[in-house]
Amino acid sequence: MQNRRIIAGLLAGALLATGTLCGAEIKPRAKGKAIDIEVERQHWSYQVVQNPPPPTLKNRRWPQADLDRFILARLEEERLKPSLPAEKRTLIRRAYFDLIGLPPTYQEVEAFVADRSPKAFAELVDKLLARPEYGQRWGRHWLDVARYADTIEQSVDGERRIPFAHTYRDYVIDALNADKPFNQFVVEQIAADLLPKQDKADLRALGFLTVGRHFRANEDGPNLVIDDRIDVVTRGFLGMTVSCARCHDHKFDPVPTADYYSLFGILGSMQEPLDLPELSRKGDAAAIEKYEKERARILKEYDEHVTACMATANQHFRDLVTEYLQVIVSSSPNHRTIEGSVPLDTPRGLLYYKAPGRWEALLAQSKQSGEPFFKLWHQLMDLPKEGFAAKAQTVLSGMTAQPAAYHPLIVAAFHEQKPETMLEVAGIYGKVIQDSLKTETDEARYVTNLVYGPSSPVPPHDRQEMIDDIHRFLTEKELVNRKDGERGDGLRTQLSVLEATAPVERPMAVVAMSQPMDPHILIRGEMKNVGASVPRRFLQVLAKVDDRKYADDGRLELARAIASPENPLVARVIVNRIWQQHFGVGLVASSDDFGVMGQAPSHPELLDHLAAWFIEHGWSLKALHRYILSSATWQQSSATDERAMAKDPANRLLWRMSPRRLEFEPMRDSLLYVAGRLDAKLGGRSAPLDDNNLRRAVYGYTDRFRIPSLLRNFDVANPDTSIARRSETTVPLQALFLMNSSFVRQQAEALMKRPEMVQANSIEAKIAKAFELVYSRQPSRDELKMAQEYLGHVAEGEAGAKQWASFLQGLLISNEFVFLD
Amino acid sequence: MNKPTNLFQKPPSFMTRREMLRRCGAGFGLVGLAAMWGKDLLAGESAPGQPLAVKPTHFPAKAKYVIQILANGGPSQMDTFDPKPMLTKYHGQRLPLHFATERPTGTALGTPFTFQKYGQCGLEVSELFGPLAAQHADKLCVIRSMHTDVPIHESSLRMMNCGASIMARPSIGAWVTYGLGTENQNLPGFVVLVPKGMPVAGADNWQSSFLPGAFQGTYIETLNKKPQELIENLRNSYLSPEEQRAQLSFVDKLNQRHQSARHEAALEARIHSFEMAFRMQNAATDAFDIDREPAYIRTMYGDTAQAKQMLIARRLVERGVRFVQVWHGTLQPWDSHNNIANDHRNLARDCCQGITALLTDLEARGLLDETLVIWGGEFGRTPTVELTQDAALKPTAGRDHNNHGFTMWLAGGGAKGGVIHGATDDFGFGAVKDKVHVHDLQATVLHLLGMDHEKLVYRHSGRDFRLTDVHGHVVKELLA
Repeated sequence: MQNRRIIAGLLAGALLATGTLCGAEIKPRAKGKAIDIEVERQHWSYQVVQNPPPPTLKNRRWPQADLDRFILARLEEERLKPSLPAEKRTLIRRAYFDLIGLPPTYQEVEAFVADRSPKAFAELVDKLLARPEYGQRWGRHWLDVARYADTIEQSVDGERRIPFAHTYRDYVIDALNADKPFNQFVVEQIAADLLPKQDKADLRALGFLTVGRHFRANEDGPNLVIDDRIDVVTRGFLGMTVSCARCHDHKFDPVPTADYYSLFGILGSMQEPLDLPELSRKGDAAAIEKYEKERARILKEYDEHVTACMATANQHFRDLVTEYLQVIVSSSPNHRTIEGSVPLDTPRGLLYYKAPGRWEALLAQSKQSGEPFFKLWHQLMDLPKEGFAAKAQTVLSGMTAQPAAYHPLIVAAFHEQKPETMLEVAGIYGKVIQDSLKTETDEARYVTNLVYGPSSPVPPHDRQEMIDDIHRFLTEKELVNRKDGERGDGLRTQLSVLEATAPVERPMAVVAMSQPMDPHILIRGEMKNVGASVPRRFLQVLAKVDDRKYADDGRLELARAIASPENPLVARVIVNRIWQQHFGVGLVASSDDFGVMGQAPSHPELLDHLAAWFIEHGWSLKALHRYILSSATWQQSSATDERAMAKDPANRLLWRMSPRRLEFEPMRDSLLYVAGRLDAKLGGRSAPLDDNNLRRAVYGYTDRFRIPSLLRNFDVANPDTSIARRSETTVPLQALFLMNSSFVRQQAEALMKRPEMVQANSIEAKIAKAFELVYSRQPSRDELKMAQEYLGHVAEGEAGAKQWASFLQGLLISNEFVFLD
Repeated sequence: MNKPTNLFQKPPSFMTRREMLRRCGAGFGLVGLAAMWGKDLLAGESAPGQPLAVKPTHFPAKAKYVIQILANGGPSQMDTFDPKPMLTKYHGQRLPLHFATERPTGTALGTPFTFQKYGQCGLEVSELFGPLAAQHADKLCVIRSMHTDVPIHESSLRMMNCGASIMARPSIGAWVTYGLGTENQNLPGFVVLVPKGMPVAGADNWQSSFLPGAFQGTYIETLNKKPQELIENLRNSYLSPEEQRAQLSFVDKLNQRHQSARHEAALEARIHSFEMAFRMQNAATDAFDIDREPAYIRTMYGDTAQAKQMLIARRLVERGVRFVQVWHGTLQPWDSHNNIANDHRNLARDCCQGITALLTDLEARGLLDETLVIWGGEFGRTPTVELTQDAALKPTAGRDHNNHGFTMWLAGGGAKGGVIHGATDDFGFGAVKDKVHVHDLQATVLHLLGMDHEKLVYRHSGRDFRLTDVHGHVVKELLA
């Protein structure tokens, strides 16, 4: 809330108090009351997007685009006037930073100022949108939403790199540069692998699902990965906070827990394969061959390891039957032998942590079906510990009287037995099961089939189940011991290490599971607390878009429902995000929350107008940028006005252009650019943003475990969760970087050595050139004087060079360099 | 705000040394900005561009500063602050109770250390922390009934530091600086001291997560570094102070000229940040330079990496830094799965003297009353011996992680001294009496700092988040 308070600031006091900006009425549902989807669907953001006619106005001359009429109507209502148009010099600088994140050169500014053509600005915008730097600039905005990073948050062995994370980043940049229709951009990021017609390169889009945290050091890890996907998909595309409904119905929005688990079933029915498809290769043949050989070796060893683990598990469950049955006895309410939980170390070996649960499932299955083998077991388990021996005898007599109801091997095994405790019963059962394994009779086959057959929950049935278990958190393993788990993790790490420098590119693709997950509500979000089954389907509040229950995994259907023109949210959310980047704040300030607790749109009709316009124009983001930049609203001056400031200091009504400060990335990029050193190359692996890294900051290496403090000091988005809007702070640690870092000093020195600077042959000429290169303008007379005063009598040689560098650094770290009017 | 800024402003002479150490950062710029903002701020609210300015509390605070000493890895309660004679009796036998922890454990493992009673309160402490107890037993507020959710380092560290075991959430230090700001604008408000390397869970432990980056802990490796190298970019290696002063005056002129046509608060804030940064260069170097301490103080703390960090922590708090995390070391040093008799002895030897000196020193300076010192790990250890996990299942002479029960202590800052709160069972396996969950401890810490843990919230992702999630109760018995 606070960053909004900081930025949207006085709005609350000045406007909301007078009721001029009405928010949607927040009516939190009464406590304990169930969600009424029909009623709660009335919230504004779930309503069909209207295409309202632009309002009629008193001032007909100001608007340049339809969108201006919505802005002006609100200003007129408030008796405010829009600001004058910005000067051309301001406009071109604003357009450059907005669209490509770099400053215009002095020559570009002068040429634009000199161009009297009415089309000059539109042509400039087209030119900028066509530059590859556009995708680099706007890709970064989307990567904040997509919680992009180059590593997972942590791993036991220290290997955290996500080897092909950068392919997702490159996909985003390529898609934006190609102006891929946004609806297609959505579908590909959720389900590129399921599209009937595929371009292999689009598989890179799936990194959206897989580039998040991996939660490996968590018992609940696999579920949290799915939770992360639900969050990024719903907040990212829909402005809905569906992950709030994990443990209970959403407290404010019409999202029942059932909906969360419907999406859970869809976004959980995929796997991240170890063996990813190949996109392209680069490097000499020998290196590729060596890499491929090593890769094949690891994959083969991994495969063999899985096979070996399958065999080990099967043997383990045959050897330690009695021990498992005894654990179940010892932890049962009636026959408990120890307070707390039963130790898993037995004289014949260590049981797998969560494997007793598989035996419990077998017994539960038997009890429900009423099959005869464990019938006696169930009866005896129900007896109390007190006086067990006597009561057991009664049950056993009952069995002798009616042997037909029981399995013959059990009748035989318990003949003349007098078990004192349930633990003894477990011993007898264990022996029967183990003896059956050695016997070839129908009766024995019944037992082995019951315990180890295809419908038994005890043994592993397919390789994927085993693979999942190998990588499950230590205390959650059901099928392998610690060592075998570590061996599997180790092989996976070996592959990661190899792939992290591979001479090939692979998309971070996912594959649909052959059998989609049958989702159940987890009560209070707890793994062990399984509730009702739910279908895989789209959110119920958006049932008008798609109300089918999906027969297959439903991921492609979900993607299409989200990207549907009928979906009231998707277009509103993206046009609002674009608006936010052009104006500092979205029409809906809470750009990832369009729900009841989000903020109401400042201009609801404009939001709808833009959404409808966007769909009509083929979901083209570039068209939308053109439209917004052509408006009188965007082209206003940022000069303040006392009266307007008093009324709307946060500028929610857009009576001026809000001044903005460059984020870290365009600031760093611009320092390099002005120094003549920026490497604007597209694509490839990330590298740390150290002094030698001259690429755009979007290609910097983001390590979730060790986020560089420099980036956080400059409010760069935390990559752990989808970030809708960065905070904007001003702290001395930012200034220290600018004042003292070798990076900034190096740019000042490089700038000093630019030929333009070297060739300028007087102090005055050098100063003027410096202003041209840094601010894209000439110095004023008093600025010239100020600079001369600072430089004094510049010495020759090294001392002089140092002074010039300090002067240039001064320009680079000044406010003018990082603030946009 | 057209008043030219003054980089060289001297604090008035009537200030005390401590006042001076803290205040010299807050020049006219700050006051001016607050006035420009023109409204009263509440805990958690910031004037534009001034996220770290001091903010009022919800109610009067007992503590102003926190030093959180992390014995990361999980120190054993049975071997330190929670004596269990019954465990010694059962040594080598199966206990009548057992809890699942991260790894299999077997029979009882009695403590190899001897316990003794200290102070008027009769606090029993093992020889590992005997010297600490001998001097400070009656100042300690020992909580023997701590418990947390899972026996996993990463999860439990996140729980201890961020109030949530799973997701990345803001650290307690970030919450506290977000809520209260910090008193010395020449130093970061939340400082994290680690001898070298990263503890388990890395930056999660001090991250600001969805709070603005200004509240993130400033991570500092303290081992073998000069004071001016501790904070990134603290020193300019190109210019002399005079040259830099001249350069910044020039920048200031450019900025004043630029600002005069605009009158934007954000521009003013950035101008001010350069002033602060300029002063921080000296202030921070001074703050981290323990060589400026007299010899008797350095001797009192001792010569270990831990001792050095304790002394830095005191110097920081003395200068108004709000929250200092002091980590024992990289990864999980207190994680004694093997040979606990040896490992725990060495670990305690590394830190006991420094911690003892810290409390003595804080008290001598009148700082202990307003500084809350917290000691503990992310969880405790099992009273049962850990088993190797190969077929042999041999005992390891160490203990596994234990989330069911463990000990932490508080001192100063409004925590009640000479108190032993809660208890574990006869063997130290699980908390049984007056249980204190980590969320309860966090609620209590915020309470001591004058904040209501239910009101310190931040809107993110569709709802208000808080440190204690939807849990936590202030433990009244711990308050002085």
